[in-house]
Amino acid sequence: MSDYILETDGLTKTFGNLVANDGISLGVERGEIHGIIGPNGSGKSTFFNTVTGFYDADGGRVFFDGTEVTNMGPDEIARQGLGRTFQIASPFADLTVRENLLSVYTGGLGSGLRIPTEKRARAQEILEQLEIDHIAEHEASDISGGQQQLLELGRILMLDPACVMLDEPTAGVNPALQERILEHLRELNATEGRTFVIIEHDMSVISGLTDRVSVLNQGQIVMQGDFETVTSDERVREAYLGERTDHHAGLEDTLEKNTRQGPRASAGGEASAGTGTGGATTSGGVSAAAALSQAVPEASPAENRLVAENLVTGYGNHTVIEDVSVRSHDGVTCIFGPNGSGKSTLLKALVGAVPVWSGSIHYGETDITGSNAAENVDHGMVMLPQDGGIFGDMTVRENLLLGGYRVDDREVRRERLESVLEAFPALEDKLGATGNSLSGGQQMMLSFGRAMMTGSDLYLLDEPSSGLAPSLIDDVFDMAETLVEQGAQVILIEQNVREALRIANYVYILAQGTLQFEGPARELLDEDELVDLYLGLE
Amino acid sequence: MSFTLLTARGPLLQLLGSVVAPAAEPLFIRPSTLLQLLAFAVLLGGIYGLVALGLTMIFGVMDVINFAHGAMMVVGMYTVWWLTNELGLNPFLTIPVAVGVLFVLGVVVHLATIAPIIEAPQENQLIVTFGVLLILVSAIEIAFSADPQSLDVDLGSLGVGGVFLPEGQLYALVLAVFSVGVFWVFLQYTQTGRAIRAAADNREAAQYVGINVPRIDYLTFGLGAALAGLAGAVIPLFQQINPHLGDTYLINAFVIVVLGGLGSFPGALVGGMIIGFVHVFGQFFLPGSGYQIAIFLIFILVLLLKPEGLFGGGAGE
Repeated sequence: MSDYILETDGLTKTFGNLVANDGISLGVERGEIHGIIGPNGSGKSTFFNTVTGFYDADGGRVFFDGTEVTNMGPDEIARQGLGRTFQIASPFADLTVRENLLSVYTGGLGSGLRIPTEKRARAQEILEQLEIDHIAEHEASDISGGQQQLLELGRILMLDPACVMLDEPTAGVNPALQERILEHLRELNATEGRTFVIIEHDMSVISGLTDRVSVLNQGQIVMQGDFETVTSDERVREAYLGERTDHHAGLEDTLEKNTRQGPRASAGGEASAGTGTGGATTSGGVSAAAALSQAVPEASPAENRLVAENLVTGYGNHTVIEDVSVRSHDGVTCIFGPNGSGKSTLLKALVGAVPVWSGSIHYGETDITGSNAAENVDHGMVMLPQDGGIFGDMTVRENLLLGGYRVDDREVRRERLESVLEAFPALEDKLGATGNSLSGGQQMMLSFGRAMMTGSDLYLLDEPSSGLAPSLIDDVFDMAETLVEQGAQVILIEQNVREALRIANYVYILAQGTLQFEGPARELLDEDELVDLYLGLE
Repeated sequence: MSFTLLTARGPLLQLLGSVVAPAAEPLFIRPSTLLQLLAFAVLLGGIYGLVALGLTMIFGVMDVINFAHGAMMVVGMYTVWWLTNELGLNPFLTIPVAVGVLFVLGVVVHLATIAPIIEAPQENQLIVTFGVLLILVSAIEIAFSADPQSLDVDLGSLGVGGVFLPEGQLYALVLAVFSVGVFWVFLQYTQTGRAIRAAADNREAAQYVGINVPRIDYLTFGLGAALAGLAGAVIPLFQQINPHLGDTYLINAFVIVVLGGLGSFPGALVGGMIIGFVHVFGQFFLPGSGYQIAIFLIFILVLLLKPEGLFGGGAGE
């Protein structure tokens, strides 16, 4: 038997119908640095929370250092020597850095009354070891995010843990400090023999730090091994890039779809039932396209309708997008990148929903750097938020009419409504139904239809296929292509990289808030290169 | 917060006292009494509906619980009372004035207190609106004293088929129900009304269809205050007023908002009617302030059995 310091056996955690951890059996060897990677929602943080007692497991067992710790309280587990840090560092904000360390419970009621000299000495030692002794008397709320991460690590070290689980310790930390955190981890591992389990989205951290890596996808361990083995494995690529489609069939499929007019409104089968023949749908699509292009306000002929230069933005004092320049191109412009790379933030900054810190955005000739999302609808760009963003308590008809909120002419609004209904016949039978009563595919149609009501000539799509059944994902991409056929430009964010590449004309790859690649989609044929770019290894 | 249930209760008994013998046989109601009770229940239901609609609208759109809502009602009451008694205007002409005053007050309150902290945690906004409540009620006390006041106008009674209804009460009823109807049509069928509902439904998505959400916030706060003002403005027509009268209405309005479903517009109106009926019939049949206990029992039952409220549906956060 190998010497596992931490071992789980069929660990399961569910939230309602969602199985976040599906029978995870994982062994962490004593003295190793073990990485856990996987796309968003794969269950990494849930695994941490269940192991460390923040959640009660619904099944399976956890062993630490030979003792079963399943369903012990988090404090008890911490005292056993299994520490953890949080993705968002949460030091006691009003205490100084030193007080944060001294606040750690080290046993006995007496420790609550008088702080023993040894404890003070230990705190001083950790402050020096982590090189945060110069800020020891600062309040924890005043130090930087990276320093807070170090403080959190230090606070856990006060317990002298044999193993520490780190949840994204370098997220949002500037590169210099990031390197220092990693140095400290290596040193603690090498000289003190502490075991670390680390969740990271930044693959360069994982590759340079870990001995072994486990890949989680949909709540299960997909594979384990050293970093190189893991990233070249097809199952892992599938987890990150979406399922592989047959390339030849895919190409023919794409060609066939491009010659077809109008979207295939086949969600749930209601569409064909509602409109009779498929032929009717097709001709409907054509006239819908014609009517909409008439309604579109003077499409600018420029190749790049949207031009964003050197964008910097983020939330609070946390920089998410660092000096990124993107343009919309004819057809579909895709922005890919792993989770946490800043894709959604970038899209929200482009549309004006997140203020830009520096840089500029132009739409045609107009400077829209300071415009908000509502004003940008007037400029001719519209966003489809993640999950569609429909108004669930309002009827389909009201949703569509609100798409024409900025259209003053009733007649234009009515015409557009008709063309949208021709493009999405499935919605016609549902006009009086509330948005919440629609199926996932129909909600996405409604979201597209509502956006088309604005008469925009640039559409920004934030992961339109997320949460949809695989059979509907093609339909979503068809809808995006329909927009292009009507003369619009589309900027698309997708997790499903392999599928999205089929309709992409131009590609940006974002990792850790900076651009890793830009170029025509055809230049991205080598998948190894794609994986490296995607994981931010270049 | 001081409860002034007795003050609210007194006038009803006064009104009924002339027609009904003191409840010696409380389970027997004469048809004329029943009609009067019904009329008063619909009136109170309409007033509750107006108050709760404003409250739920502000909550739905901005996620702000407006503690000052009852105080805004009181401002409406005193506007009508002051204009009628001091300037000698027809009380019915002063009602639209009160509505206008409250709309402006609502916009100003939003500008000064909520808009600057709209991104702050909800409890900050709650505390701020509580501050506005204290300021408004204290200002009225300073200006007009805490004594109960009534209109110097005798509106008389209207007799139909042997049933006598105080005219003030009747007009208030018609006004309240009519206003609810008009406002309902506004919310349901105009683009601006739809925009308010859209912002309440999905605040983030609303901006993506071109709705200027911060401006909708002002409009919503103004309209919410105007609805509270309207509800307050009809009250002097049939009962005495005092600066703390808003408290009872506010508390019952919270019950209604939860009963109807947090943020649900139809829920506020239907819930208002239900509580109106419980209030009036409970007051008639139950001793003392028993009706208020009945209202809270309903509140607890809703929380236990259907916490999302009558019209809450599966939606919401």
